[in-house]
Amino acid sequence: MIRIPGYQRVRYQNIGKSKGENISKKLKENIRKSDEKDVETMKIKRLLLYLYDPGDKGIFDQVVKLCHTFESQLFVLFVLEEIRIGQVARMTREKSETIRQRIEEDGWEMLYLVEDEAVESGVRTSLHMEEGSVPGVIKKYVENYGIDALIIKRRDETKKLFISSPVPVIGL
Amino acid sequence: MELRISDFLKPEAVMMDLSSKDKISAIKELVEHMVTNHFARDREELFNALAKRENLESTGIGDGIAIPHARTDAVGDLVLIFARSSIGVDFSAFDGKPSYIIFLIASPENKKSEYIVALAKLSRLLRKSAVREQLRNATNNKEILEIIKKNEE
Repeated sequence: MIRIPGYQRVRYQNIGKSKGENISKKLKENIRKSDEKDVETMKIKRLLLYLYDPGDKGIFDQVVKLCHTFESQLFVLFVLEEIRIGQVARMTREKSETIRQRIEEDGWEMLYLVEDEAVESGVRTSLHMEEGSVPGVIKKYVENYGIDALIIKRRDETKKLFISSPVPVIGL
Repeated sequence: MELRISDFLKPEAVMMDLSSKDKISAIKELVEHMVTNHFARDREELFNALAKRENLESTGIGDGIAIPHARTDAVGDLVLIFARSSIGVDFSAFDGKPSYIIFLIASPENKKSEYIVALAKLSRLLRKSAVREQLRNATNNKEILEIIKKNEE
């Protein structure tokens, strides 16, 4: 289910199993079925993709296709969280600074991988590395950049974002 | 073996005073330097690849830094160019500030993995304010190379 404030709810099944093109097609079909006034005003100009770890690479292709279809500008975000760094450091018994470096480099690699695919498809993309709490950073981006929807890979670590996000969430 | 920025940055790839004020002129100036110093073999192809990326969204990442980059066969290997501007170049960065430190990265099409890793390492390095400050205050290309090497360790 994709919830779009101010619009009727758009039912959307098996989103995680669909390819980007199918997602876009289904979403467009659903939008067409909804009220004409809503269709006129509904725009996905800016999408925010939140990345958690290298496991998210599997959705890059779908995200780029989605942006290409909707002619959306893509903001790609990675957040360095102190809590996460601390947890990994305790688990691995490595220094926090070593873990921070590794997580940040993994984050940058993911950001540039998305960008590389997006550029090939002509999708406007900007990369963002931030520090802080994920919900807080997302809220800041929504307010500052007028983000229309958030895209995340569905996983345990991102569950809370479905509730806390101030904009509709597309879980892939 | 782990990729190190300092292994790819050659002394002749350091430009201490870029004269351009806007990003397209700056990229042209960088490309010219690369061709003159045999880092690139095709001026036009390299410029087009960099401009294509730049036109989609700025590579000005804020805090006075820009990292124009592209994968293109106009270069034979992974190439890094450092340029510093005393007047600042308008790279249309998100924070609205001009860029004083510009790192250009270009790699052949088939070296995507190295290219991504180089971009990631460089971006992490340049997020450190101390590194940015040192690079802005360095007086010659030897110092620039030493700063990069030291901060990579």
